[in-house]
Amino acid sequence: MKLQQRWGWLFVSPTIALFLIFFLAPLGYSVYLSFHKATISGRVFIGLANYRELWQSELLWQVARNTGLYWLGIVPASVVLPFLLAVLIVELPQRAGALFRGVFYLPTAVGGLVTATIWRWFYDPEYGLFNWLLGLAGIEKASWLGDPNLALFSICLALVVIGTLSANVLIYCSALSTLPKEIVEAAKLDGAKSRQIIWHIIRPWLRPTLHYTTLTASLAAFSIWAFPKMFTGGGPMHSSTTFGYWIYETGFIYGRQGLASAQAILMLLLTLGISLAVVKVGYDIS
Amino acid sequence: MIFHRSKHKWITIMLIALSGLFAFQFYWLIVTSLQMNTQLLRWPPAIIPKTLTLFNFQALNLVTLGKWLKNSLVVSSCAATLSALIATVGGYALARARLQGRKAVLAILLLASTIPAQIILVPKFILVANVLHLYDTLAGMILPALFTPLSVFLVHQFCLGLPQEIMDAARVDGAGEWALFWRILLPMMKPILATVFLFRFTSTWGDFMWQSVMAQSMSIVTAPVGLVLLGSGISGQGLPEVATESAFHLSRGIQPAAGLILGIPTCLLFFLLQKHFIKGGFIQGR
Repeated sequence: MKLQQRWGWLFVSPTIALFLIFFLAPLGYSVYLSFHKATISGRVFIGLANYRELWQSELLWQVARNTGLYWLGIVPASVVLPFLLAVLIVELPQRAGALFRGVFYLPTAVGGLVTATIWRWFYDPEYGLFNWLLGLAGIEKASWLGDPNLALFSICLALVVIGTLSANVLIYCSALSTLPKEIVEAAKLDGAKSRQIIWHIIRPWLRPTLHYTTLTASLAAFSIWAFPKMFTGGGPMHSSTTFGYWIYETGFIYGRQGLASAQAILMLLLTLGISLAVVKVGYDIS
Repeated sequence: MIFHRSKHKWITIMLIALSGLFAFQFYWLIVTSLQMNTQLLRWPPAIIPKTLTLFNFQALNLVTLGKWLKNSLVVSSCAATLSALIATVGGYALARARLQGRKAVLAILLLASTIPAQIILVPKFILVANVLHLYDTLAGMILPALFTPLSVFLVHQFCLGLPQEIMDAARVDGAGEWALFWRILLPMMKPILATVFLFRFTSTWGDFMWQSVMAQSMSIVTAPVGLVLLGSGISGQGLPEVATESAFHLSRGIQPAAGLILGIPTCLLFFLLQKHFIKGGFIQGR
């Protein structure tokens, strides 16, 4: 037994070492930095000044508002649409199902950034396809990524189609494939309608998956980075800045590492509840 | 399964329509990569273009593109191989060695896997750049990617399901812990190994954020970083090596063309290993 313990910890030690070096130490250092005025040139202790600046910054409220809007734009669509698609896909014979799964997964398989290059074209204010569609409907051309009222929505749309919906279809399909057919057959014999089966059998069966996708999409609302970076630079006028992008902008573009750390600690506090819930779902599933 | 057979026709039609919309983005990506500004900058856009050209592909410097791919390949395969190894021994020990406090370790790892990356982005950058002196190196991209708490958790889950009898029998036969792990367990763990390898490979391949803060010189640009750099070439900032300034002026199809080439490896990988991906998926219902 003793021997086993020693071997065991030896086997786990690389993981623990990496955890300490590349997770816990940076996290601790982040707390430390947040009490300092820190740039590339040096550090000075300034107490809570970063947090005070953060609290008084108008951008904080803008980013908080953006986060709420991102949540609305991402979460329902990333949870409900793939759920419905998966219900339809598992209905079909194996081969056809695999084909549709493949098509929906394609953006993720090719890579989100690659697919995003073409969305820039869709959104092009002069020659873009979306403006052409608007034109067909008799609506004036829009500046999808340049209009402060529209940029956030445009990012949500691209993100859902390329990212979360695409990836979640696969997750729902594999979760649905474990559902015993007998339960559904029995319900049908009892005269249940399709709608009732979906609500009373499929939905409870997929509950952990639904929770998981809701929580991960909620985390995304705080931390989407690649799309603002590629499409808008967080703008115009910070209208599409997420918490995650804000930290990057403050820390890397403006080089204010101390303030960025204070933002990071705030983001950690705001998302910790969601993270803990993911852990709980992880345990429920296993 | 849920719906009556008579409705399958409608389900198929609906899925074909939806997946057609989904597939359209790839049609547009391909078509755009085969046109130059003379055709692209036209109103209304031509849904079915009359003339196609290979200009974009010819204008791209394939040596540079190959270098980006090679860098990504080195970073992703190193990170995936090493992290799969570390996760395998760690996850195995956590599942089997009856370690004191293993539950706490697992909970902390699972929690760490959900914390958004931006929260420790700034201090992790300082650590890798100033302490380890690995700024602007491929090693600086690889090292932090070795910490994969989710992989450890997945391997742990998998090992819990392995039959204990085989190992007991081997132990009675006098096999040591190391032999037990290497000769008996590892072959049984192939599916989960493939899964964690693949997860890490694709997630590292797409880790645009970390790689873009790490990369300074053109020689260590990876596929995602390069692809986004190409996007800035459109706005006239110019990109040495990849294509000439005049080519950028002649065609905005260069970025989609490069995207198609850079998307091939992950796409191939996914479709080759699709089975493992789905079987080993994290969320499998209950």
